[in-house]
Amino acid sequence: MGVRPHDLLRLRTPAALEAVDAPDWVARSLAAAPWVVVRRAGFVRGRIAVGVRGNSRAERFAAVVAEAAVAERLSPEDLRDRPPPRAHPAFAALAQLGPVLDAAGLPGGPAGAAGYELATGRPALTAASDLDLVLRFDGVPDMAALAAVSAAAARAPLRVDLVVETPAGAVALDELLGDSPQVLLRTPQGPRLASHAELWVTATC
Amino acid sequence: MERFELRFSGNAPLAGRAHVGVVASGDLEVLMEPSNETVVSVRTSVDGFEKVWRATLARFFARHPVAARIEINDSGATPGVVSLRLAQALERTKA
Repeated sequence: MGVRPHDLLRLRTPAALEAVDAPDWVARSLAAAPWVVVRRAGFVRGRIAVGVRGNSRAERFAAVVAEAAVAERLSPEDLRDRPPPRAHPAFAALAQLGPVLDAAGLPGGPAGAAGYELATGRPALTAASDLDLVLRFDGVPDMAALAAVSAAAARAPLRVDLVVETPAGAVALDELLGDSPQVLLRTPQGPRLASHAELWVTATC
Repeated sequence: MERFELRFSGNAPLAGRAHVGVVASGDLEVLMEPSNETVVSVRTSVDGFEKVWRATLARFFARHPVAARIEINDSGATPGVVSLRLAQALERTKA
């Protein structure tokens, strides 16, 4: 299964989560919605590295699951055109930015709390939430198109956190568009500073 | 949201100023400029981590005892990301 960071996975059973010393809220969260998010670490000893989301920012728990335990996978792209379960500025912003992405021919979709809520129907966005938007590319994207997305995001009704996924890892859109010769690249091995050229070299594990 | 100011001893002069990083979840902005004393103003979205900030910054100044005025605008970065941004800012002051 080609899972990628930000993908949401529905587990066949909450018991499939392989974790040591999980706090009580983890079982409660999975009982309410048996969904986990793929972490950047990718695969750990043949298991998918995942995170469980709780009710607050402090409630995040890292674990692993076997591929066979996954009943369904939804990527940010899969979630983009889903009808929102309720009114929230994040969904309004997503509705505004969707056509901008389409017009620019850019693949992407929601992650974080908005993505989780669209996948599970379970409330995750709060009054303080941003919209996390992921744009994924295999090769160097059209920077003018990305600049148009950044400008549109600046007009959204809440802060939009735009992340660009490259073959080497993830970088913040604003930094990619900026003039710094080095950018912060988040890789499966952890964050590091990288040149712009390094972003488009496939990561080796 | 929390703000605090931390002081360190540093006397190596800084060649110039630098602004690195972005306002994005898990990231931070760092503004670094020459000064005659080393003062770091931290503004962070995550409360209760002043001790961790002090330790992370102390490691940086132990390696690079610069006299600098630093402003940090943090959106929940890990200490690893903070260290990378500080190193990046210092590098840019030499550019």
